[in-house]
Amino acid sequence: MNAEATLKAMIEAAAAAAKGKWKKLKGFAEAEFRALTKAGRQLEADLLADIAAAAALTTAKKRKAATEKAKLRARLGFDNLRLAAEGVLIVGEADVKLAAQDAINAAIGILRTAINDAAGIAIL
Amino acid sequence: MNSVLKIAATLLEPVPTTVAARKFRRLWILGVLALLPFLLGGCAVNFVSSYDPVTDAGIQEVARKAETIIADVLDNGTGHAAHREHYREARGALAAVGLRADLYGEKNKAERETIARLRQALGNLEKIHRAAGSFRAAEAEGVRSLMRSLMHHELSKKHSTALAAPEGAR
Repeated sequence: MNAEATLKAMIEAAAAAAKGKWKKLKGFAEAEFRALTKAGRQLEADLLADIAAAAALTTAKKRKAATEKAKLRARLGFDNLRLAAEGVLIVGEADVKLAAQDAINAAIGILRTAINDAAGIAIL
Repeated sequence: MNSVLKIAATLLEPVPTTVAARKFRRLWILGVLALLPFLLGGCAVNFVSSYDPVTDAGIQEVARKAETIIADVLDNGTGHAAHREHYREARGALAAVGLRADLYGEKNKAERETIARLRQALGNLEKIHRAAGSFRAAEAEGVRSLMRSLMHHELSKKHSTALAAPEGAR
């Protein structure tokens, strides 16, 4: 077994596995945070428009009900964006673990092949 | 027995003379020894639970049910009463996926926590729908994003499982 060449191949395989995963994760997280930011801006604009519309209502009772409804919508909408942002982070963290897992497994795969080749039979 | 001797012989080659070569040799032996338990165990390392096609299919089903509601409300402004049954189905499908995900324990934490958040977000969306008679795209974005996160996670797991499989099994 050529130790130097095997070690080099193991490092290359590990780096390639981790890099591929990292690129995918980065693209996904960026796209999600962009979408959530856009939705957040829209929720803010909707809240302001709803409160303005509520203020234009004729009776105090109607104004109060419409304002409460607008606030409830905004609160629940923002809560959903918070949950979604947490979801991206949770999945991102798991992806980092998967990247490490892939890197180690890629290195193990190379070592396994090298040992099997050296032994002449598939012992591992 | 011959094979084991061959490997042992590789590791026990004469000690190199230069400092750099000795360092490399020590690093190499340590690396092999560190990975040996995994190799002898005949398995790959597993920090995150493996891909489960049943869970993946369940998540697709939840997404389909949720999108049925979201698309109809955003396109037609359909009221909550018309979708009460769809919400119930989506909640049921999500609970079933959650039960399945729980079986994989601590290593499936990301999936379980994301499913719990999706359940909460879907509940929030239904509250908006019930209170306002409809909902807007920005209010549904959280639910959609959580579904994308879950799908992304499933794809990552699927890809990772393929990498971990022995060459002949890929």
